[in-house]
Amino acid sequence: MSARDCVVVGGGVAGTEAAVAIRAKDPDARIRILTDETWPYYARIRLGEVVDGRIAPEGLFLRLPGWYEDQRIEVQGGVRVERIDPARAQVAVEGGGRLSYDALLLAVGATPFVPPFPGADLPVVATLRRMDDALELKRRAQKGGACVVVGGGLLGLELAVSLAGAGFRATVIEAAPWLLPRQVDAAGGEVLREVLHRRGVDFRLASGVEGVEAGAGAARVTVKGGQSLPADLVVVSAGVRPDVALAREAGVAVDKGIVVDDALRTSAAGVWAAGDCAQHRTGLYGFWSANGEQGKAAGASMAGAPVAYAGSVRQSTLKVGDMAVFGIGDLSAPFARQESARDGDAYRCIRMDEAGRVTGAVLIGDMAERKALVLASMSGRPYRAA
Amino acid sequence: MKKYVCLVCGYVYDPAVGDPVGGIPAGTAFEDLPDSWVCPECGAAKEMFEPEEAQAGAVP
Ligand SMILES: Cc1cc2nc3c(=O)[nH]c(=O)nc-3n(C[C@H](O)[C@H](O)[C@H](O)COP(=O)(O)OP(=O)(O)OC[C@H]3O[C@@H](n4cnc5c(N)ncnc54)[C@H](O)[C@@H]3O)c2cc1C
Ligand SMILES: [Zn+2]
Repeated sequence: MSARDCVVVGGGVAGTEAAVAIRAKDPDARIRILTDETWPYYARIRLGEVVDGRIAPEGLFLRLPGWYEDQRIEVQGGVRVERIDPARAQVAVEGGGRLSYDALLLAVGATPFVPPFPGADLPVVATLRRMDDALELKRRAQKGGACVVVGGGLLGLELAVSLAGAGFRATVIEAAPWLLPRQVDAAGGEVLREVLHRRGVDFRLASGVEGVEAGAGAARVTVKGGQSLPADLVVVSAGVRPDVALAREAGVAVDKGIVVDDALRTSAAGVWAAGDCAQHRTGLYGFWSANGEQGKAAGASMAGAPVAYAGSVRQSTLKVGDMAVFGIGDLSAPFARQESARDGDAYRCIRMDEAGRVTGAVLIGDMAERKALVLASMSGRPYRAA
Repeated sequence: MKKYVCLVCGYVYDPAVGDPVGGIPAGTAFEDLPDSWVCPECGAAKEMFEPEEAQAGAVP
């Protein structure tokens, strides 16, 4: 039998971890990664640091030159896959070539979602997903001016801090009445707002974008209520949509993402999917560690090993700028009493039921209590601060 | 030597491997990493790491 021929589309965390897992299980396999980016595997999470110039693109590379050769993984950069043909076990690449495979992994990631407001397609409107986007934002920031970030989720906040650091006056427009409403309570959101404001970021909360209009000078962003803000740049950070086009066009089952089973197999024989593009059970994760775990599992499965991926743990510690934010439990759950205190830029809020068991908790800045909270939540015992 | 896990992104610092891209040679204990060292994958500071076995993040 000839060596197993594995093709991976997408060289991000899911695709790279998959390639490593294939190699670990099958020393003879041929492994090719096809990616339309021309940069080697980099820390996508840290693109904001490229925007404000804290780091050069090379500083985000995650593998030493020579690593791929050592692993005998072939990478073809700048290659876009246009179609997959599971019936013939082939992929078609831009420019006309075809490649055959025994096992194919779709690790194509996701694309920023831009709500269809009037003016959404103007050149002043941008998103951040790729290294090239980061370099473009950095270039535009050199002229300075005003910038509006649409969406105050984790990514929008990080981005606003980076854009402020890059020389823009940044304003975040967020629909919720406070920042990170799913992770923190109103008082915690206020702490975040104040800290970020000191870094040069303004906020419009309980707001929304109605439209963007280009003008002679800066564009104008109309917000809910009719007010308008000048903007030399509008960056939309309103979540991502899994890239499902390749799968859908080939008749592979797609829901919100490419549907995979516990071995990360799609509905088509010989085709696996992992990472931001994949939907495991009902879950779309959209974060780094889950995508790495999915990639590892998919790679092992492609190499013929039995795999039972049961899902990933949702992250409970986030980073906003250099501030840590930790949440546990459910802040919308009923509670009997709460301890809540602010100390400068640090904040803690612990909510408990009648018996003193934690129902939901938030820490900002100071993570000293984190472990005790996790242990108390796991054991279901009443909580006493250490 | 202990492995350490980044609480933000799940990256595991393995002293046996070091962080070759970040210029940290194999055999460097986590405690001996410079304070300026950050998680290569997400940029989190050293304080955001916990020893692997004590990692108590496993709560949904
Ligand atoms: C600015 C920013 C900040 C973030 N912050 C965090 C954070 O703090 N914590 C966290 O956990 N996550 C964060 N994320 C999300 C995290 O980066 C992603 O979940 C993760 O990188 C996705 O990995 P992936 O391998 O599934 O896809 P990707 O890394 O997107 O890789 C997919 C690759 O496939 C390529 N591709 C797509 N289609 C084709 C095709 N047809 N042919 C060839 N190649 C193709 C793409 O160009 C891309 O290179 C952040 C993301 C961004 C952009
Ligand atoms: Zn990290």
